[in-house]
Amino acid sequence: MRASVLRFVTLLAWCGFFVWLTISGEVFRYVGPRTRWVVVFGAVILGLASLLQALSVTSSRAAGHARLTSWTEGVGIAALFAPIAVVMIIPEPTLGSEAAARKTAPGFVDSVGSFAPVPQPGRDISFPEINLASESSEYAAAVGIADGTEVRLTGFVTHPEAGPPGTFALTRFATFCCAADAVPYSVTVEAEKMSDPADDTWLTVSGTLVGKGNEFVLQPERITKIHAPQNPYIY
Amino acid sequence: MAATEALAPRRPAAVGLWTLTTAGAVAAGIVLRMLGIAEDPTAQSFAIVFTAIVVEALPFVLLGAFVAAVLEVYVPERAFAGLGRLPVGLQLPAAALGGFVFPVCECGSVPVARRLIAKGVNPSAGVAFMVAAPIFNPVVLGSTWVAYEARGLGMEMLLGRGTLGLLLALLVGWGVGGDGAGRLLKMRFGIDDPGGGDSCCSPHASKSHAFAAHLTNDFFYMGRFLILGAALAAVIQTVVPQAILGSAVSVPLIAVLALMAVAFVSSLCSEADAFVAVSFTSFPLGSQLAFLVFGPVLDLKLFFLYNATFRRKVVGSIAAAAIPVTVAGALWFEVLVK
Repeated sequence: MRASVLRFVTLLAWCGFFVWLTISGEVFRYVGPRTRWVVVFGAVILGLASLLQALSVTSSRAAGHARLTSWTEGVGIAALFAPIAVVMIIPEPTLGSEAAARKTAPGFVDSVGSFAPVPQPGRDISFPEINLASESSEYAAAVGIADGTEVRLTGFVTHPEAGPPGTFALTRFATFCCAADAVPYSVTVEAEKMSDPADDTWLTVSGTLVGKGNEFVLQPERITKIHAPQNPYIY
Repeated sequence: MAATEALAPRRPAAVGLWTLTTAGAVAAGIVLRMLGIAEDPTAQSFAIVFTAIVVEALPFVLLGAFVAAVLEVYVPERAFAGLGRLPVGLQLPAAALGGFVFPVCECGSVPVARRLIAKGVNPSAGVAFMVAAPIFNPVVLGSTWVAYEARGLGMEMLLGRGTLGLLLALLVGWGVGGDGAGRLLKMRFGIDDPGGGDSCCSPHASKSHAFAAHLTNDFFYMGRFLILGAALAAVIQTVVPQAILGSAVSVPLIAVLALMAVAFVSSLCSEADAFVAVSFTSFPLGSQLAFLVFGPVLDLKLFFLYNATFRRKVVGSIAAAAIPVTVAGALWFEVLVK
């Protein structure tokens, strides 16, 4: 195949992939909303490069300069198709309990990083706020977290090794840039009166927070099994 | 004659073989799907991290290739000749500061630096630009300030990152670029050799054709190494548990080296890595600074991009200069902040 044609096809395929990521909403599986612009920018710049390459293909043919693809270049171009192939083979990947266990390391990543938001009274209470409130009574007071606070959380089930019996953890990954920097947050759910849900089951749990030991745990009043959301992260 | 050589195909692959290879790849994909790989949690983690790194980085590689092609085709030779005649003592700091007015991330700075050096800018200055641009630019310093301001350390980390990044760029540029362009840049197999790449050098080629040829030559050459680096980073992130680094927290030197290793493996974009660094709150602040300075200079994807651009010993020289300077600077910063 002509090298310039193969290059055009590759650029166009990547442009199409970026457009599909943007239109389908799948973009949020891989990057956070703060960096979504990179994908839009990528679609535009790849589209522009495709157009330039199309013009180059036309002028090369007219001048009789078309060049066949060497094996070396072919292997390189094949490598460039690898991410698209991975997405086609594994179409809706998620970071689940296995990734959470690997990324949760006591003493390594503190659960309370910059992802924990600055206290904003009235803001919806989510995983980072509960994690930070467990470690700081001042923060808990500032965001209005106390015994009896009602919350509604959506996440997937994990079973941390150090979890008390009769409990499971509801977990959600937070990302800032892209999935490569995802950090897991977990809230312990007391589930003595219900059958233990399997790892990676997505649930929406409504209930009240209760301070136990050095953390706030969630005593559920209503647990609903849901499908994994298209946007699986918190930001 | 040269033009004729440039247009000659290098071991062209037959169309039938391409068809066979494509069919084989599709069949392999179908078999993997049938084997249930799409449901495997480890495969899913790999797929997400690998795709995320490539999706984040590829537009910037293309942007870097765009800028490099503009420099090659549209900036007159006399401009580079004028720059090249300036004393190194002036070129080096000017290039290191260049990122502030021309912010590119690490993936984009490599092709631009290569083109600057090839066009006659002093190699030390080209390397200094390449190292400084992903750190000493307003977007990266701004994100660092935002990430750390929540902990009341925004200005300290901004100044620490900017200063150490600039110092590192000057030292690496001075140490690595002294050998001259010919001993620094690598002949890109399949592009710079006769018959390789697209025909950008024909005297009859129009400027737009030459621009497209330079753009795609750079993009396709660098792209494959980005894919390789991203795949390796994703494999390590998917397989290695972070708990193995947990015991490093208590010893400052070990903590610095540990987070430098994390930065190397993670291959994060410098515009967002501060938000990851700040979550390592169990680690001393100096080691977080090391993460922020070392990652944009040398990580897995850059390792492959550097190897694609420079001769083999250059990558070793960059590491040999960057590791001790980052360690010393991070430990000193730790003392200053305390």
